[in-house]
Amino acid sequence: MSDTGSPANKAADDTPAPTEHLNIKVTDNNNEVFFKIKRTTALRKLMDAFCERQGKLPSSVRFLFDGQRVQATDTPDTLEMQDGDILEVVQEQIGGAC
Amino acid sequence: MGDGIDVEDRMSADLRRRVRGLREREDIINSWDLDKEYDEAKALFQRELPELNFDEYLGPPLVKIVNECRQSKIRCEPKLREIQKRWNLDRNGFIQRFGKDMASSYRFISPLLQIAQIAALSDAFAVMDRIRQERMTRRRLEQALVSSTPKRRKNATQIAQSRSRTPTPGPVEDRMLSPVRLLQAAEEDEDDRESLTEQDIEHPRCQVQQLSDIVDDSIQHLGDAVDGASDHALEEYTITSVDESTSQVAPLLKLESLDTELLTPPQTHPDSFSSPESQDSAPSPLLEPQLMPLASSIPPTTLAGALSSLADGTWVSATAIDLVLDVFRTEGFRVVDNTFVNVAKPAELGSKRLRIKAESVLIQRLLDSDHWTVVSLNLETGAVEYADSLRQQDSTLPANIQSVLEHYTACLSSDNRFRHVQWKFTAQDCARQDNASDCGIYMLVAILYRMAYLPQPETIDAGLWRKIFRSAITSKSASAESTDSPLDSSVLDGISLHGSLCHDVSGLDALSRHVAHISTLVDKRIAKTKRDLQHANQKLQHGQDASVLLSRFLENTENVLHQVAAEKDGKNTLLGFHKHMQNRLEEFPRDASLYPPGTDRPPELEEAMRQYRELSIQGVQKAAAEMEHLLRKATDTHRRRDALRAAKHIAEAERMAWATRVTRLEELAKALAMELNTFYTAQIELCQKGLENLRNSGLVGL
Repeated sequence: MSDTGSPANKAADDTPAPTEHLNIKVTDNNNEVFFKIKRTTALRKLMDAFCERQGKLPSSVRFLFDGQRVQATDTPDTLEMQDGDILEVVQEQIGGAC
Repeated sequence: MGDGIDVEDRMSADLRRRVRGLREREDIINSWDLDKEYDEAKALFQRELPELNFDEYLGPPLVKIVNECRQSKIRCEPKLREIQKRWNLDRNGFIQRFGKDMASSYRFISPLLQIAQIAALSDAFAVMDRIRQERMTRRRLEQALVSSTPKRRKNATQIAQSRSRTPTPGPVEDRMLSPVRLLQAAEEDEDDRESLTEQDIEHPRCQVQQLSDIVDDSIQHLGDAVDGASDHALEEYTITSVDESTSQVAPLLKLESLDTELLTPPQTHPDSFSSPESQDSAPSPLLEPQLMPLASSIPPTTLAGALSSLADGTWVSATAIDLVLDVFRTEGFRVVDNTFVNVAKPAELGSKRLRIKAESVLIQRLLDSDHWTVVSLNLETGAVEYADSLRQQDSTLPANIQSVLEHYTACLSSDNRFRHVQWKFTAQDCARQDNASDCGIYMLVAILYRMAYLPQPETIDAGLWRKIFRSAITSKSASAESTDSPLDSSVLDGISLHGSLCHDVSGLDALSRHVAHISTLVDKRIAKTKRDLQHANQKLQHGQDASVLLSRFLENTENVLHQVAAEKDGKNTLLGFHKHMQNRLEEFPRDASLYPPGTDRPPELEEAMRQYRELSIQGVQKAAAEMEHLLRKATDTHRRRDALRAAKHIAEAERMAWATRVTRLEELAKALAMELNTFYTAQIELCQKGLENLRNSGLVGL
């Protein structure tokens, strides 16, 4: 009777195990920084850390994943990132004419 | 007052008449011979009433006027002599043509001398007309200029420059060609009369205003004076109606400038000046200065930065494009940044980075890093279309673009899904930009049309779209109303009968030339109204197009919301089922009827139950995760819908404003058309009458 609960509890503990970490590479074409980040952590942390390490203002750069803008509130989960994915850091650009 | 009457009683009849005459002139400044009349009256007064002070009796205001008149006459005298010399006129001839009072009006004489230096007497009116037009454009331009702060600064420096410039009289031919030069010359004249105060430099608008008033004045006086027998109410009609049209425009202009000033942080606004061709290219009421950003003015990647780069005339930043595209996100399309096609590091275009879920990919890229263009890839048909708002119509791709795209599609083909796609490269038609700052807007609009499966428009209104985008990325919510259809511009189509009339009356003599001149004015007025109407209709069309396009996107988000709601219901049921199953599993082992106390459960059952339990737990977790995802999607879609609503609201407001303007212009045009007929008949009669008079007085052939 009493032991019936234990396998259920065990199973419940096992399934949320995919709180695995991802390795994400952040690069601005000159520097590469690897970060280990939880799937559910907002990427803001990673962006801030990169800017701090490179001595850049967060308001001077854009972060792109697969060619699309990464917002500070995005998480690896929402972007469906996989281990080893690359986050690109690019300078702001403006365009008007040739 | 009692004193006054007493004094009047003691005066001789002659003096009383003179003093009354002087008093009547109190409100007419610059009257001819006012000073002389004053002197004579004063002499008489002192002889008759030596114990009284004449100036005190008259009162300071009138004395001041007399003194001003005297001074003005003194200042005018040399110029007047110069004019008379140039046009070979004697004093009476001048008075006959321009009126007595004009000879002592410095505000009239001063510009007139400039005209006398470059033109014959008979051409004076034509020149005045050109100045007037110049002034009109200048005033409009200046109104637009005042809307941005750096402009004001620039203008001030310009004035400072014009101050330091020595007014050396150039060759007559040079001046002849430039009415602007005339205005400047008049400005310099104003300068030497009373030097500019600091305040004037602070507010160049005052300066321009003052100047234009002078020219305006002189034209009116000139017109009135020469009109002589003619009816000057009609002359006034043309001038006032032109002025009225500018005043109609003013509120629109103000609105626009306010908008820009609010959104543009000063440091990102480069110091700039509108090019002269902007006058020609935009006969529009919404005349906007062209701003060319400095290379260094890269805005921050924040919302504020994006907004500033969406201000009129500035180059659009990548962040602004990101934010706008975020609002207009559409299923089936994926818009990626140019760095995605990184030619420098082709190795990074591995299959891992080609997780394409959309049917079409739109790539925005910069060519030579200062021009936004767009490439669209249809992953099913293999059509690769390149659109560039600066290119002339040409169905082939530039070689460098094609090579990049070929490389990219080659990478795509390494993926099994796209192995058999045949890529076809073409250049696509899109609206062409008419300036050097709007390509980002053109690109965005081209993307929107593509995502809405609508054909590309021929022209777009970049200003309107900038407004829409600004509102889309800032606003949270607003409501939209839709209203009726536009009106057509055919109202002016039958009006050019006056051309032949012009021919009939011109070529006679000065008087008839004057009539012809007025008819040119009217002609221009009509042309202007027509142009305005066309422009307003075009704007209306643009507003409507934008509105339609935005509706599509709005509809889209509504659909997504419905879909999400439906999915949510489904997921809820699923979640309920899993939870129910979980409960049943919990209860099962406790069921005493199945397993009376003391009996052992078979291990298979234990195992099966474990599996079921796991399954149900997984099911619950999955459903919960999916629910969370749906909720996120719903929130995001709500946010986008609100933004789209705000954007549509802007488009609708703009459309409404232009619809009103079109109606107003049509009314104006109708009124103009109606009055034209009467005007010309009256003028021809008048002209003939005047001619008759002139013939009688022997002035014809002068």
